[in-house]
Amino acid sequence: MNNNSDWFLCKVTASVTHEMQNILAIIKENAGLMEDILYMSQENLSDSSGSRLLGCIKSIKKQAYRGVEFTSGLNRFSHIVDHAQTHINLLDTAKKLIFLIQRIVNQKGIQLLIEDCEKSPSVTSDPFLFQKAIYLCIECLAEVLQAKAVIRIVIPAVSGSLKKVVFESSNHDIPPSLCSNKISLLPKWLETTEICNQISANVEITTKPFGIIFSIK
Amino acid sequence: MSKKIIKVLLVDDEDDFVSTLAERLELREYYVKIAKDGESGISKVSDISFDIVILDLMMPG
Repeated sequence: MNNNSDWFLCKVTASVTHEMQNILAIIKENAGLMEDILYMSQENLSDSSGSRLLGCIKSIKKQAYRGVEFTSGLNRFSHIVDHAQTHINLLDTAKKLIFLIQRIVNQKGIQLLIEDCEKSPSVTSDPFLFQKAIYLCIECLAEVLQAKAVIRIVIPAVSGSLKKVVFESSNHDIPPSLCSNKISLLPKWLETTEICNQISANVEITTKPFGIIFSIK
Repeated sequence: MSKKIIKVLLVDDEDDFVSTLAERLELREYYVKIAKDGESGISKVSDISFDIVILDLMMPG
């Protein structure tokens, strides 16, 4: 990956998220210690303030675990600048990326669903550009779809050397031809095709169902 | 027959984390020692035979 600002941003994110993981680990352990102390004294648990305190501790732990999930995901993501080419499992990578970007799409009222597949294909590619292309496909669709639409992501079984990530939309009443015209005019679509050229991938807009097919060798 | 006391060495530079974890283990009757860096960890291992060593892999220095 050659973009210096992306590299810088990822390096800082990797370092900060590592530190945040330490902070969350301390919060988790302290909540665990409070829980231990409460459980060790049956008297504490029997009164109402004891059970209220236990409820608060459970809530702290739940949020700390949630924080760990996000910071670990972001930490893993920020390491995509470490290697120019890596082995990429399509399903695993798409799932991890979707976990991180879910909120951006959800804010528009659009739901993202990824389908499990028995054996996910893998490719060797630039992890940064690969994930950016996947993200931009979702962004392009989200741009033209309306609230309550659903974007389903499917990774079909491999036929030949071409591996695909299929984005299909549903639950919207905009004519697919209008959507595809709108997408093709987006500056983001141009960016998507340019990135795909750099990693020997291809993107095409489909109308039945309306969506995008990303393919890579 | 007396219960075997399990000896644990915690090696980590995060004071708050390591002291809380030590307290939790001690509540469960583990024998716990703390080392705040690799060097003191090695020195503690040569003094006592620990059953478990929990080691942070990325410490400063």
